[in-house]
Amino acid sequence: MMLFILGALAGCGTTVLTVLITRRVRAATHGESTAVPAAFLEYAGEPPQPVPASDDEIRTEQFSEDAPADDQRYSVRQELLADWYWSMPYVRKLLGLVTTKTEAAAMGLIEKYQEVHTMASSAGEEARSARSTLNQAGDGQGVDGLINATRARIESERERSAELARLGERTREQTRESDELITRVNSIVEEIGDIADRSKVISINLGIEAAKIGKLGAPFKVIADQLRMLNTSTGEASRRAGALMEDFGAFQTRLVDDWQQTILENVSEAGESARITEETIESLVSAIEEMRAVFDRLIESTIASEGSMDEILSHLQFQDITRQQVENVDTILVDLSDQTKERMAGELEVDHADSELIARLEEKLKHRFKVYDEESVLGGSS
Amino acid sequence: MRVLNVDDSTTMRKIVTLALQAKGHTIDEANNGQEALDYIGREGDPDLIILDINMPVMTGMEFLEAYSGTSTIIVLTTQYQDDLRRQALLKGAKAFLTKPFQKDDLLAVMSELGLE
Repeated sequence: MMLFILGALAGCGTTVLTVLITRRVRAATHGESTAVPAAFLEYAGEPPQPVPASDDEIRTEQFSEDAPADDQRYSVRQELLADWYWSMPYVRKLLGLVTTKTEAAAMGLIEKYQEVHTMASSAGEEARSARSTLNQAGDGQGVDGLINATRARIESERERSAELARLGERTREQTRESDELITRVNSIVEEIGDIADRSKVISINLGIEAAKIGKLGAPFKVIADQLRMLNTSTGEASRRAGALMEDFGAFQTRLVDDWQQTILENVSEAGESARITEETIESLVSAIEEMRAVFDRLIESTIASEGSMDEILSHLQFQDITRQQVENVDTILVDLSDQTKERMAGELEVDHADSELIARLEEKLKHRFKVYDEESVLGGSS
Repeated sequence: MRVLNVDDSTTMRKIVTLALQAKGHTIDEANNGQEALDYIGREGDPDLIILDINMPVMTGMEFLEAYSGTSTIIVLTTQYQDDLRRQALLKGAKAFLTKPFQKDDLLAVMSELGLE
């Protein structure tokens, strides 16, 4: 029984009674184990072995090397039992404080647990929400979808720019063909001018010949005049046509040059714009990937944190287990006290509290077992 | 789901309440078996009773003997003796858990009992 008490006390971290009882047994058995009171023998099972008394033994001074007289041993036993009995209220008060204080500590931890749990849950929820937003942005196609669509549009714009550049090149080739046509037309116009010039010489000669034949040549002279006028007009027309073709060729060249220049500039700008957009998109992709990784880590941390929180709740239940162990020990102490009172009835003054004795014992216990004093460990009585 | 959490330990009541509130259940508390009976008299049978055994005024075992309602009862106690467990189940408890319990274990037992 005694061993059970000691074990229970050690198990709940309260060794006040352990030390107390051991000290009393030492005092009672000093030099002679048969002096141990019957009540202790019953609980210990076997008589405790004598141990050397230390300097702080309470009642060492009452024993001498000589065999103590029976009445002296009896008196010591009576005092020991009185000490034991009247120490119980203080010991039980300490045990009660263990329960009260550990419960207060546990509740404080639970309160903090709730705060941390709420924050962790909130952070986790925010991370999940942000993760979901990344996945659902852009009418449900997600950021990845948006990025891919943007990349596709950039590629499409690049193809259109390239097509425009190819169109400019084709126009340049067609312009060259057109220039050749103009050259050929000019050549024909020049030939028409030459023909007109030669025809003019013929008409002059015709006029001269008509003049030679006199009156008969008059109709031919009219024809020659008409032909000369026609040749003059034809020559003039061919020169104007040649000049016009040259102007047209020059205009066409300028037009095509300007257009091609514009196309090249636009293609270049579009290419630069696409490059910048693509770089921006890639930066955005990196940032989003980082964000996604952060969110994932946050979510994982939240889950791990919730697991740890559950572990904390599990461990905090040991406060209740300890409380019940302390209550069990308290029950044992009450039982022991009752038995002490019953067995020593008529010999031990237990019916009337000796306030001076109780106060002295409390002071002694406080002094000797400071570690277990409620003021030093438990933060004051409550 | 409405749950009555019966335990004389403030710490345990809080822990059980936290574990179940996270699942959206409504939790009420009683300090011992007698308070639990009084609560049921006022509010009717909850869907689930989480019941400690070692309590002052009226123990969990005494509550099981006195209770004749329809609530599902899960015993949650520090005491684990085969005889105690057998007696609790005979008196109407549907499950017997010992402290310290893991939240997931309690939820798994509730799930097995059809209490989601």
